[in-house]
Amino acid sequence: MKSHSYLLAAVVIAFSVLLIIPMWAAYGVMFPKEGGGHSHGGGEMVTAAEFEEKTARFMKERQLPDGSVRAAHGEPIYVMATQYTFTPSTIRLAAGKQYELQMLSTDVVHAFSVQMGNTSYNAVVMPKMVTALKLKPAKPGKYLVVCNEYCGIGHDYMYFAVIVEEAEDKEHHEKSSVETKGHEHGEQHGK
Amino acid sequence: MVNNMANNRAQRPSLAQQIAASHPADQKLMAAYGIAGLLSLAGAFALAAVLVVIKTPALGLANGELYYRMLTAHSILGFVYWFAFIQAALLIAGAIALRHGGRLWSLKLGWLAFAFTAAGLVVNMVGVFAGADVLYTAFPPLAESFPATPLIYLGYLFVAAGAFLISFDFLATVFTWVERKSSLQAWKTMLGEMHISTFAAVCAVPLIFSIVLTAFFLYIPAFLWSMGRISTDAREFALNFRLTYHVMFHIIHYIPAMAMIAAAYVLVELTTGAGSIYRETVAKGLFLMYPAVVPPTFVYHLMADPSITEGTKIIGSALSLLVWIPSLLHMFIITGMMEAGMRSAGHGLFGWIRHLPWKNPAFASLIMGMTTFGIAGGLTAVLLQEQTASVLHGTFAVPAYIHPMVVGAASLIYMGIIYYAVTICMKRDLWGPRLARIQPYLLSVALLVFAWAGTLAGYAGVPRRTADIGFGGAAPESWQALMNVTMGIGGTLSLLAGALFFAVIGMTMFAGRKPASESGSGLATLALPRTREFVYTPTALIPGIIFVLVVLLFTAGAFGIMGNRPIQFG
Repeated sequence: MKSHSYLLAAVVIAFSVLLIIPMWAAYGVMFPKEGGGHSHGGGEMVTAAEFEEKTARFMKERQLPDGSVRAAHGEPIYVMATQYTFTPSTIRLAAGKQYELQMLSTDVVHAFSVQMGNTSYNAVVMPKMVTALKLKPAKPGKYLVVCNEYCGIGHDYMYFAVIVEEAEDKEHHEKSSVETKGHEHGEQHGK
Repeated sequence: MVNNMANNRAQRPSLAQQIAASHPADQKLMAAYGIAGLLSLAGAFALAAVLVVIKTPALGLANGELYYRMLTAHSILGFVYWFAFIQAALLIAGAIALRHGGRLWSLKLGWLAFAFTAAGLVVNMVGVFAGADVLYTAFPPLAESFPATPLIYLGYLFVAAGAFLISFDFLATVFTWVERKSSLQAWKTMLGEMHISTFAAVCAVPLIFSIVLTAFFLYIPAFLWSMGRISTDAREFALNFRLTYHVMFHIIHYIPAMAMIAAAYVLVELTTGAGSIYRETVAKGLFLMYPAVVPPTFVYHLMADPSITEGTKIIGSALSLLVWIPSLLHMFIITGMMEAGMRSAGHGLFGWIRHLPWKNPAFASLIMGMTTFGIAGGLTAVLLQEQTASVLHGTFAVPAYIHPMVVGAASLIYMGIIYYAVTICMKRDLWGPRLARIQPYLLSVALLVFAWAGTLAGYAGVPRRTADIGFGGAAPESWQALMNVTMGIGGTLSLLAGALFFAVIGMTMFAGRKPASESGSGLATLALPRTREFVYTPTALIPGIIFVLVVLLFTAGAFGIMGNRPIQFG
């Protein structure tokens, strides 16, 4: 029956949406990454109090006089989401360095949506379960981060900034900040 | 060549005659559901007008409190009640109108189901307007901060009970069609005689039952929790709720998908008179694929959640690709029905397209609904793969595909059915056939503008469900222009098309010419003189090829975007 060859062709065409699977392999995202890391998941369970303490400690160690927080390479960055703020409210990173971000909500479900001009990166931030991300800024600039999961009436006021600085710049700033605050951080001085 | 539908048609009266001949008492229940559905849809459109005003940046009227309340009511009316009512009406139609002389198993049960659904609507609307700004998701722990939240969960329990009762009634009706219950052959005969669309409804019932079961499992504890009767830690509760919710919510999506395709089979028969050139078992078998592939693919709503491991997400992504397949094949069969029918009447390779009944508003609803369905389906590509979901998750790209899907495709195809249902059951001519003629085109074009600009806005990072996208002046400049087009142009045109539909249907009900003329004011079935035997359907393959290329391109595009981000994630 000739008409059935068209039906067969339609079946082949429909199933060729599965060609997307070899595309994942081609882009190297077929299998879970080394060490079982999650692309936007941490899965670690913590209490709000524990996380609040970690964030407070991180801010105390890394806060600059202008209130922003400069993260150190290789050390986790803690971001706490609470109706309707992110803590810290400004994070400084250095271009070309790799960072690890850990996020938790202390109340309702929030999200982390980094605006990069014509594109964004989006992940959900939940209570109880940490969202862990690896990130590597390539281009200096100021990036807006908004909450894109409805979290209550003040949802549209919930945002913070990530400032990516030139790598050399970072060193300069570090020295000045260390001088002002009188803190000593062996790891940063060593760079 | 097997031409089941044509053979069946020879034995029984035409679909339109069958619909007209269905029992008035059953018709009354169907009409009650239809009208309640139309009222819910009208409400959803009216609230959408408020959303359009708030979300068009050029108007400068962003207002958080009003926006979230209107959004909650809009989505509950549109996504929950319009579909719950109209799909129940379609279920009844499948039981009585598509089965010559068919009667509903229990009319009383049908009315009880209707009462539950209507009560759900009232309870939910009281809840929303009493201040439950929880959006239709009503996620704990957020829901805790709104005292009216219990009414949202309670309303959902009512609508779930209503859906269960009407589906049960439908299933019981189908069982009465088997003459000897112990004979396998009798079951086979019954399933074989059954109209494709009724069969689709039979396949949807297990999905509806699993939705109802999950809804009880979800909302009974949620209701008790919101009333303070369960002292579980809200945050612990939230994780479980979110997961269970998405299992249910995911399956809910496929009820309109299946009902829309079932309705499309009816529309193609009513508008062009074309029958399938393939065995009906092929189309019926494809409907069986949904209950098999839909439940395990719920993972794709949680692609950006930390609670699901990456391995699960990857398996979920692979399975998700399968949900396109039955719909793509149905689109091929339906297009093929038209193509073979038209070419059998002597029209040429592409010439047949020109001779389709483009001026019949129900046909326009069918063809534009199918086109919009294909385009919106393609737009989901990036969202349902774990590997690329981070590009669009939670952005305006989500409503930008959902609206063409549920309004431009499902609702538009239902509108096509309503054009026939109202004129046939009320024996009136369509009022304002010229207005009706442009309505389907306007609605789908409006939603495609909404989809196009809204998807670009999503790619640019505009968050969904956010009243004011200014972020203290820190938002990218492109956002305002994109949202002005999405809401200001796409949204406004959609409202206009909606108003046009309600004007035509409302006026037909009250002022349509009676008795109806033979031609039905532009709704007459196309007269196709059969001049030759034609069973080839090459043109019907084209939309599928385009679809596959588009999803591959979108996927490659998303990988391209991810590779060029100024901040690399992974």
